[in-house]
Amino acid sequence: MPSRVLVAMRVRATPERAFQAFTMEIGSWWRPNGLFQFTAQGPGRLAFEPGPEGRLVERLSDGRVFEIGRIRVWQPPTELVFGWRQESFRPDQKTEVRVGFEAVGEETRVTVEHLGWDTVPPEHVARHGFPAAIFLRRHAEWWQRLLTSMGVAVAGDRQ
Amino acid sequence: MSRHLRVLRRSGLVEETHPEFDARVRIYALRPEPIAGLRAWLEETERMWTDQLASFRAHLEDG
Repeated sequence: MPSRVLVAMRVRATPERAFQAFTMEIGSWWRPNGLFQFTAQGPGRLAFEPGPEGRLVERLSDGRVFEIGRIRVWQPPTELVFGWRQESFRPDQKTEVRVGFEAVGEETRVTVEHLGWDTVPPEHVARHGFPAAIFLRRHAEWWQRLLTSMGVAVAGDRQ
Repeated sequence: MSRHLRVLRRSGLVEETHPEFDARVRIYALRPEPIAGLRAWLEETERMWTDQLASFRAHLEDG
């Protein structure tokens, strides 16, 4: 069973600009995601400490810094590889993210490959109730949509 | 063979039972739950990165 995820998207920018924005501006575009929370306290603000010896961290409001992963490949503007650990992972659970930047005409194809989810054993999935969390979130989204459309309908009635 | 099965049992992918008439006989059965859990996790990871890249693109192109 494959345990990696591959997502690609084209952006209107040069690979140089895309690499710079991906790393140095991650704090501005990253969207915290409840299921992929790095720390129990979070969400904080993500930041890359750049360079081949650098790392990706989450800076929390109390000043604490959580290391998500060390940079394994830092090759602007084409390749970036870093480790990815959430606080709830056990020490032997490690995943890795590989990001590629490839020029396609005037644009750049950004590819994200997230590997190693098989190192997160089934016990962990069960203990943290991952499928249950998905279910709850889906359920919450469903309610939100329902309430939004209800709100629209109610507003429409009033006009 | 038994060593491989032990690893699979520890990881929760198979479960082991003994028939009542003979404790020496072991029956291994596949458990679907861990695989379903991993698949759900992968689907969510894919969704998460799709959201992140959409946000990244908006940041690059609108900013």
